[in-house]
Amino acid sequence: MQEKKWILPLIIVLAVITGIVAGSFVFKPKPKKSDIPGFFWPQAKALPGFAMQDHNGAAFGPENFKNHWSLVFFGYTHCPDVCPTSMGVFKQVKARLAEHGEVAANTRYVFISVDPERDTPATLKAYLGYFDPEFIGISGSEHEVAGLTRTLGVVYKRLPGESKDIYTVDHSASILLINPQGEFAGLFSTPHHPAEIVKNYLAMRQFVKENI
Amino acid sequence: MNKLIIFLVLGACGYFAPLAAAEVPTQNTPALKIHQAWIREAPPVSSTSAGYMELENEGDTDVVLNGVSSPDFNMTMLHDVVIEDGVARMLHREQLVIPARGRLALQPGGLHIMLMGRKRPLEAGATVELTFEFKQIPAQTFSVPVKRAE
Repeated sequence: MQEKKWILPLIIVLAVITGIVAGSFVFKPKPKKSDIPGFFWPQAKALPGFAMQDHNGAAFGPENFKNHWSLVFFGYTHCPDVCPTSMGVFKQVKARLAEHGEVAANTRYVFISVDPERDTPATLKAYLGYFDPEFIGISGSEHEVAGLTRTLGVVYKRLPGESKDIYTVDHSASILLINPQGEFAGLFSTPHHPAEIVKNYLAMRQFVKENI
Repeated sequence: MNKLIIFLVLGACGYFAPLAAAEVPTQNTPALKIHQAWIREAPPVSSTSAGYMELENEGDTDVVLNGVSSPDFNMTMLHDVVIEDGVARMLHREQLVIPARGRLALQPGGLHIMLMGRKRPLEAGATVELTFEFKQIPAQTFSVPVKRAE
């Protein structure tokens, strides 16, 4: 009699544990690991809060990244070499994606300025309009730019220049990928080859389509 | 033309005065040649641009480029772009060496002539004068076309 008292609770406990373990496999399959270069899945990182402006002067915060995939580059309009080259890369990526209608339709190209002193919304509008009027320019105060870049691991440093107006800024040259949930989801490192960016980006989009 | 003469005179004073025998150019030292030279057309709001080209040295001795100047820009510098840990850093190069019987490429994403403080609008089709100052040979001025990057 004494022994029997223990059997029922033991069976119940074992059944519950077995149920939890089995359930975790059946109902929550471990996410497949992606081997696409630069893709953070499943470790996408939430953006911090920030209050900036787009090139039309409209407020732009983290919520504005939602519902689209965004390729994001940090630079400045007086940049002599790296930024115009990268905007050329954006143009080529966009042209190559044109034949992938669904992907092209919800991909945006975003340039965030790391030169708050010189880059205003109007400056960015004229600058990006030169490359493609659909490109989006974001600018904000030093404080806002510093907060956003710190969270994303993007660095920039203004170098002492000849005068108040003549100076350069060292900055991260990678292209970041923000997903439609507004999370930092991937990174395209330098050197930037449009064909390779497109290949990896399409692979990321396909992966998400199949696994989420 | 006047400028060229001034450069030649200054250049001559510069390297004949201290007189290090090894640095005196020989009569046969050829001028440097430039190939595929172009200046990036900058978006209208940007006062900064960059010059790219291939420098060819047909001589038997290395040639040192000390700097480049242009009447169309307030400041010019020899620059290199170095990517370290994903960060593009602009490095100022005091001098560039064009090796004997060799070439040196200045191209997007690497070595370039940084042109800052544009003085007049420079659209594709315009030309810009660039004066190259060397350590061993007289300065040379080239007219370089402004082009829109592809």
